[in-house]
Amino acid sequence: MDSVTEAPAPTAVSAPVSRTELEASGAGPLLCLFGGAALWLLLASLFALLDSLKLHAPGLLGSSPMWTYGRVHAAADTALIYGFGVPSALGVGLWLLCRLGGTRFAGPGVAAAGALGWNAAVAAGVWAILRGGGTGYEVFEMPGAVAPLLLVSYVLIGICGLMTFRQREPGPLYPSQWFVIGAFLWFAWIFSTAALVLLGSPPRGVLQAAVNWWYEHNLDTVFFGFAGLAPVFYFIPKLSGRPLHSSYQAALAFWMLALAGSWGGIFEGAPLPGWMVAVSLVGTVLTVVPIAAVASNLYLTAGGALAAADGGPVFRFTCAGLIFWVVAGAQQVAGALPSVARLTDFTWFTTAQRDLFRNGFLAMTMFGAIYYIVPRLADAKCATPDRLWNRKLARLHFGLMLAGVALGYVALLVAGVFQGVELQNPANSFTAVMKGTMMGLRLSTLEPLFLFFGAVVFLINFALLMKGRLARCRRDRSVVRGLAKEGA
Amino acid sequence: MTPDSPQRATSVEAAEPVAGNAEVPIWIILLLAVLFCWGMFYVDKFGSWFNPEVFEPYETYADVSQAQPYDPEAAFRAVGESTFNKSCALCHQSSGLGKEGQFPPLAGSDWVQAEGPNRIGRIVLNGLGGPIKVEAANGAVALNASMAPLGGTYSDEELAAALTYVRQQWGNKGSKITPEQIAAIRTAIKNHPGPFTADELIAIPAR
Amino acid sequence: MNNGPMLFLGLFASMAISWVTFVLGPMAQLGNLQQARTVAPLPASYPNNPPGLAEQGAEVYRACGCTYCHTRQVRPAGSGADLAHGWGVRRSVAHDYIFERTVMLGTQRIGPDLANAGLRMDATAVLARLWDPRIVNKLDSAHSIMPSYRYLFDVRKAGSAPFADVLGVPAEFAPPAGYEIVPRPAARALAAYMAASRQEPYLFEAPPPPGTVVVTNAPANGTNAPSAGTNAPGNGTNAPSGGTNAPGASAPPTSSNAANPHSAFRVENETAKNAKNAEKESPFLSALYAFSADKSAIRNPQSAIGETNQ
Repeated sequence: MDSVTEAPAPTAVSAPVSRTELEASGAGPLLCLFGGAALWLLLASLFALLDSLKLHAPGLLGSSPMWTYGRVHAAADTALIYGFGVPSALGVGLWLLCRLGGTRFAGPGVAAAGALGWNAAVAAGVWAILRGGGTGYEVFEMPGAVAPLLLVSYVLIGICGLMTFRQREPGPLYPSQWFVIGAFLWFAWIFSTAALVLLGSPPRGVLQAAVNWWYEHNLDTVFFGFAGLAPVFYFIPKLSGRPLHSSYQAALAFWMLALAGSWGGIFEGAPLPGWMVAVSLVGTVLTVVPIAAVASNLYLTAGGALAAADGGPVFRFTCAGLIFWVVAGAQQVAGALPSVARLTDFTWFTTAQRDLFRNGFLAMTMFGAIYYIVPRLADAKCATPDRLWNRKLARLHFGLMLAGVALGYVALLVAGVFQGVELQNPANSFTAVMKGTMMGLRLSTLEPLFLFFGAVVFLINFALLMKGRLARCRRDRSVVRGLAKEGA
Repeated sequence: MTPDSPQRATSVEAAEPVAGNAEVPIWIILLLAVLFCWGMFYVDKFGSWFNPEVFEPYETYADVSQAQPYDPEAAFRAVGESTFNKSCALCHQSSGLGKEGQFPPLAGSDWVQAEGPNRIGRIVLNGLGGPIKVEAANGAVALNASMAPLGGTYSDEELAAALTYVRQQWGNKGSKITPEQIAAIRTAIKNHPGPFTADELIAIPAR
Repeated sequence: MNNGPMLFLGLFASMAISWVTFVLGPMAQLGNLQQARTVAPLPASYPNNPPGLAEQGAEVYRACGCTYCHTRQVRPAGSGADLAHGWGVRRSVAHDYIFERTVMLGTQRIGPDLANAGLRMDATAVLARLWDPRIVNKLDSAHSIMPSYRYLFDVRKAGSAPFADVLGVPAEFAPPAGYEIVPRPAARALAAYMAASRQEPYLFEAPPPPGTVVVTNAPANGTNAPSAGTNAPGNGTNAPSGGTNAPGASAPPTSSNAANPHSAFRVENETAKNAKNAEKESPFLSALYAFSADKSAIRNPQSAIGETNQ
């Protein structure tokens, strides 16, 4: 059955945009962003798998400089963050701005160009990293040559988003819109700062590390936090059919995340003045407030509906993502406290938290949104977009991701705590302690393995969807048209 | 009619979410307040007022300064050198060679390298006037001295340190002079009016 | 909060606060750090420019991604057992890194900390470890999970006489008979970088721990010549502690620093004494030794095996 557009009035006043038009207007760039993101996730999980295998089989692919642990690790991080994380965050954000603003997508061609440019830059960057051209800065390994293309592509996409936001329907802003605008602006600011400082004119000495850690912390806690919470705030009230409990609480969480979440990244014992460590710790501890505010807000919104896991992939992914965000955030706070940090810094504990955040929270909330958005883009006229996915494959995808993330997290967490506690005793040799964590490392290899298979399953589902959408909805439409003919 | 509710839909797209108006619960406000207070206390205690030279585990600049290793001998020598540079070097030169015809040399001087501080201690405390003959590194020097007293300007420790410096610099071989020795000399010459003369000093044993 | 511009302003303000606190502020404070004067063992300028080969080695370190397994920062005594493990004499501070072109501090320890690798290993030991990390730990029941970096070496057919820079390794790690291992320039550079990585002298920000025995330096004459405990450069044995640097490495006497009574002295530090295989020669000399394997062999015939425990 068609969604009908109202005939535009003869005057210049524009009619409200139908949902069909809305979805159709953004289909090109968004599908490009999401498709690319899924492929990058596949590649990222493959790199992560290779890395994880090398930890307990160091000789694997050991004769080739291109596949040394360090380079593959950098490539995996880059592919995950810049290949999957940022484009899917942008795509979800853009779609939310359209939906919540009730407006057409502004400048789809420009955004599509930006998406292509971004993917090209990341591909060049990952290739450069594997060939040994990485910068040496964590999470910022892409060489300086690709930074201008990245920035320009990002700005193109960002401008489309801001234009879409500007032409929104008048009315109060929904919290997701704050989060999306916050995310868009934040990445531009932190990336350009990091690029100018670290790539443009590196400062002397340990400041490079300070800016690097500041960038990494802001990228995770603020940018990805905003980007992932935006769809969470959208889908949980929408799918449970109840209003968001409190917009004031959401506002408190938003501003606290911006203020406190941006203070952090400098850990106990770093070779930086004590005041930086103290200030960073205070910021990190203050993020307890937005975590509590978001968690209680959404729990009170969805209530018992959280227990109803039969909400389809969107609901399942989104809820799981939220829960992982709370756990990862709590662990980040705990890990920053000096009494804990002296044990757990530089161990698998930190890795567990980062992986949980990126694979558990970010990837799952993004997939939750993608499962909702893609069929509506692929066929805007279809009345039953959710049915376009193969439900079994979607369930398998969720199961694989959940199992992978949970297994990897628990394994690395236990390994990290063991490593930290054992290393306190100077009589224990470092290699002996590492050997003790081997069991955890072997188990944690399942995480990228499952993520890889999950990405494969998703891509199969995606391909089936793109192939089958016309056939299915044509069938639907002819049925409806037949019914309409009868009725009219 | 809403643009997206088809007449006979097999599934209905849920309505856009709306934000409710519930107040922020008091426990979150309390949590924020408590953590904020804790944060201020923490930065006050461990923030060292943003001093870039204070690294953990030190908490203030004063703590770091206190923790610096201290060598009293080195401190004594440093005081001596600084005192010498402030006053003595003006005339006797930092090379210790003095000025021909005006200021006697200290380098290699037999007066300086005497066994004890009795003579040179009196010179620095009360000053020196009249002719004096000094055996120095490059031979004997005879001139008319007029050295101002320094006893009123400097403490016993500074004078002892300066004399020690002079006795051990430029190849001189002399023992250390303690502040107690200077104090004893100061007491002994309490009633002596004005600067000493070389003859007076030679009469006093050096030790 | 329904106003677009207010949203933007609020976000900008939040970002500005964070940026000023963590980027601008530290840059103003630490952006122009110069060489500092050490407070122990001898007053000298620290740090010194690393030798050129070590700077090239830093690029190799970066290109191999070593920073993903190793950190190069030693935490203070209260924040972990870094010092107890012998990974350094003191904590790392900002001054330690001012001459590094790319500062790679690392945030993960899958391998031990390398900030003071030069105190524990000489260049030959590093080369042996790069060839096969199992060489070092074969005496230890645990085996290292560090990968081998054999692509940094050439395995050549041995001529009538061994090549000058041949790397000697134990039999079970050696190439087949008639072949020899020759490190490539990248391996050499990386070894020089590791050998030059040392953060020994105490600074104002990182003074020696309390309770340190202070040995006064009472010279017979005014110059600050080394008076006790010389150390012959060129031996890798545990030279007596309190040894001074060989002449050429220490600065001239501190007559200019007379105003600071805390300047000139020597410290006998228990921890420094126990730093394993502590080399008292300058980093420059260590890097020089990286050039010729035979000198290293003279210095320490066991150096191919290197340290037995960390």
